[in-house]
Amino acid sequence: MTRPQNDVSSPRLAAERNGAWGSDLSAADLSALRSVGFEPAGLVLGVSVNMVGYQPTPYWASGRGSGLGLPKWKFSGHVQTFDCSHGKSTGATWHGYGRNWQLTTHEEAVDKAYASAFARLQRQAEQLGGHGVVGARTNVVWQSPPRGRRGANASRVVEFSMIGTAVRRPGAAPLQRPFTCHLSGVEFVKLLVAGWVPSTLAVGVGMVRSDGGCGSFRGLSAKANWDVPQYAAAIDRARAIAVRRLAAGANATGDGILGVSADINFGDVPGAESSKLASVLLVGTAVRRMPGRRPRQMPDLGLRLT
Amino acid sequence: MTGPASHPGAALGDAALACLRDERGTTGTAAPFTSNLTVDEAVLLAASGHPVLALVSGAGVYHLGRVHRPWFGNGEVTQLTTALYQARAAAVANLTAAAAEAGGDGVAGVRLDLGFMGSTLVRFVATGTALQHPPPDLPAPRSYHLKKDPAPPTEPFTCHLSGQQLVLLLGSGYQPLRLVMGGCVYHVGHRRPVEIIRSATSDFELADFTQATYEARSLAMERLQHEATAAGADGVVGVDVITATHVWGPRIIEFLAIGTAVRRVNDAKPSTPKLFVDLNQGRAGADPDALRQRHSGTDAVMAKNDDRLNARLRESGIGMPWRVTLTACWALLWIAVVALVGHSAVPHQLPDWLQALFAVTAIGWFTSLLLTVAGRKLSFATGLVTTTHGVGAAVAQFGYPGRHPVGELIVFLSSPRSISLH
Repeated sequence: MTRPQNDVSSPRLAAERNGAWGSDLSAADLSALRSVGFEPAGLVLGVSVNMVGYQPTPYWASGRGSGLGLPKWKFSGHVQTFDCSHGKSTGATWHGYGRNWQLTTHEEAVDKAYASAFARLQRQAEQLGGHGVVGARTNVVWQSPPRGRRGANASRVVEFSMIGTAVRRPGAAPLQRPFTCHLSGVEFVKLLVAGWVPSTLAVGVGMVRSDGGCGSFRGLSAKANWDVPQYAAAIDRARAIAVRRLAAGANATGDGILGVSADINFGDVPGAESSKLASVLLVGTAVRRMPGRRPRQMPDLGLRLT
Repeated sequence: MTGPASHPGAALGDAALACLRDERGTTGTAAPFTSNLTVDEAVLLAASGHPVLALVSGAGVYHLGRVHRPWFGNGEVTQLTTALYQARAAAVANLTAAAAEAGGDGVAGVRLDLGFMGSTLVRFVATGTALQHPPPDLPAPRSYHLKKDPAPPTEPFTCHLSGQQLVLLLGSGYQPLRLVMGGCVYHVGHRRPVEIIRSATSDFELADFTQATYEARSLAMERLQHEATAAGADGVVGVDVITATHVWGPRIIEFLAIGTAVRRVNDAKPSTPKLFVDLNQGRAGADPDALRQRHSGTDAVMAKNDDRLNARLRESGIGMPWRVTLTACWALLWIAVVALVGHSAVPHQLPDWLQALFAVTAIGWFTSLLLTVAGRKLSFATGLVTTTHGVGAAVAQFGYPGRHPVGELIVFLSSPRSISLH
């Protein structure tokens, strides 16, 4: 028996709604939440597994043209070429141009998986009568598909899962969309006391593949170290894309994004020698200022006695 | 209903929900700020008048050339040290450029993540949060080392301190200048044969290892100090010391000391802190440093590398006496056999071919004993050497019976004189 894909209800939710709530809060979180009038509603979960589409290498999108009079293929993502470092007068037999290009299909897959998982998390929170979700943990897992293309351009599968604790304010009317944050209960309350309120989780992903030219490998003959600006540029560009997406996702709902955890990876591409993949995943909580509440006093200094 | 709704603090929760109901919501800033600060840090920095701007990062990737290192004797692997420095410089330069682009006066909470790809690529990624901090009027530096004053900072400062530490530092009259690093990649020499043989029987200090750790440390500290002096700093705070071995085997020690150079800019009196007992203690989230470490896996990687180093040391250290004992037992057994044979027959009357066989076996065993003690596996090449020596000895034995030193040794060991003492 299969359920429709957007049906996130489960017997567990019904049981939590009517009986004891589940949570992953600590005792401190619970008492902090109670102090501002919230109480836990139950554990909520959102999962989505997405397949990444095929993306051909944009060889002709380098800005150089094909040289054959063919039209240049328009590539919407970021492409940057790096000149051969041998120079024209060295008489090298082989010149390779390095190319960094954005893996737009990968990014879209992560975005879609995040959007679905997030919507499911929110729907579960709504079903529990929650006004928001605190302590939402995200987990992103990349897998190879069970069947399919192998090698450099192999399709991949991305799994996005989120778990958090729904909280509600008894007696208050439901929000249009429950707020979500990856902060613990104590941090959530600290934020409120400081005059901020978390609005939504923000996720930004940037992936840039770096196909090395002869500037990135010069064989065994080199005695000195050398800079590989192509790889550094790939990491920097992936970070810039991720920050832009992160900010764009939160622009409508918040004044800023706090507590961003940056997962910056730079690794090999299976099946493609001299190609590297720079991927940056940022997860944070968008916050907005509460109007009329802006405490400007410095906290007291203290020495903790243990 | 006497639920949470009647609680006095609940008004705050209601205000929060009311704020979320307001669809316009945002209070006007065009682009939202981004930061990897924890809630505590963000609240404190906002209260102390340091608006947070953007999450910034910079990367530096270097490819290593051919690395030379000696077999015996310690020494710094200057090429690897240089690569670390170059990659760090590129990463921090990119970081400051990104911060300046975001309009920041400084970068707080910088994390330097060092990574390696294979044994050829070294990569530094620096991540931090750019914030505004109007630079104070800097008086002349108090350092006596500098001939002339350094230029006032035009580029954003970088510091690896958390928001709380930064606010404390500024409150007590110090200005962070820049991230400083002292690094040294050091090669530990192999043990000498004398030490190898001693290690079979007794405990003693591995002088090379001690010396290498000591020198790598002092070199790194010296460089840290030098960078701080060059930056016109009064001192360095919050030095993190990282000792690791990554990809070049357990004999290459990387020693990194990373800190923030600070300078005294005014005579602010630090306020007296109050003592209190933290009821919330023991939660990871309460400690911003622990939280940040949780966000980044660097420490786990470092711990893993330490484990790997220990495993390799154990493997090469503890296995040795057993191999030596085993080989020594075989050698003693052989000597006993020769002695028994020699007891029943006068060695000079043995046929030449038997003497030659003894000589070949003797030299083979002796060489393999030495090689095993030296911790080498018997490869094809060593087998070849052993055989060549054995054949040479055999030829010598055929040509000059009893004249070859090993032949003499066999004769001595196997003659009745040596065991007719009883």
